[in-house]
Amino acid sequence: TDLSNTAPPSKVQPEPDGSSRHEMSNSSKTSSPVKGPVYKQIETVRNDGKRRITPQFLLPQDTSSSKL
Amino acid sequence: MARVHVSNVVVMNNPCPFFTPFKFEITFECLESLKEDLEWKIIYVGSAESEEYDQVLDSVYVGPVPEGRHMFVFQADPPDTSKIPVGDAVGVTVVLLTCSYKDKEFVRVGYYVNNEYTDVELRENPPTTPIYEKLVRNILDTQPRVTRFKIEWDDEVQEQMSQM
Repeated sequence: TDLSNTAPPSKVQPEPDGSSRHEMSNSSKTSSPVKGPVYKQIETVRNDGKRRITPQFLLPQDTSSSKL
Repeated sequence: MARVHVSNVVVMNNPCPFFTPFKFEITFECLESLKEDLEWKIIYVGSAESEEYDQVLDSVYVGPVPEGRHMFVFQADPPDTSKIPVGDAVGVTVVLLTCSYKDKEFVRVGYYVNNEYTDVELRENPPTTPIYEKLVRNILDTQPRVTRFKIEWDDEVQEQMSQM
């Protein structure tokens, strides 16, 4: 279901400390090609100095993020 | 047809003190692998009167993006208060979450933001100079405003030509 003005996203409670539920790692290395699905969020820095996030891949049966 | 659909956005750290970072958990679906990265931005509207006061809090590239569903957390520092007009610090404003592909914006999610004092005395007699440390930011996450723009995706021009 697409995000729409008439159907606001359902609330998912963050962790008690407000932190992300997803593992993140920081690296000052140049980004490299990622092979295969990534099951955690990875953060790198591109050659031009900009941040780059490789998103977490969600399996079809993964319901950790509610759909609208 | 859009190749990326934003399916869910969770506003984290909400409500929170004014100087807490913005944090969004974004879920999107990609119908076909993308050749290039997506670019996401968080923009704080400093004043409804003019875009001059818009602040890009952060931008990040997201990729690679193969076909399927993806999720990531995008966090950005709070706005630079020196760039917010004094008269617009307290009250309702807007924060925008935008996504572009090849420098073309294709979706924009807007949220109303209410900055207010929790202290009753400050609410009734707000100081001339805002006391940001005492402001609480509340993003109205139940009422996102979504705007979509049509853009050209990979090979779309060639596909259209071949269909002619």
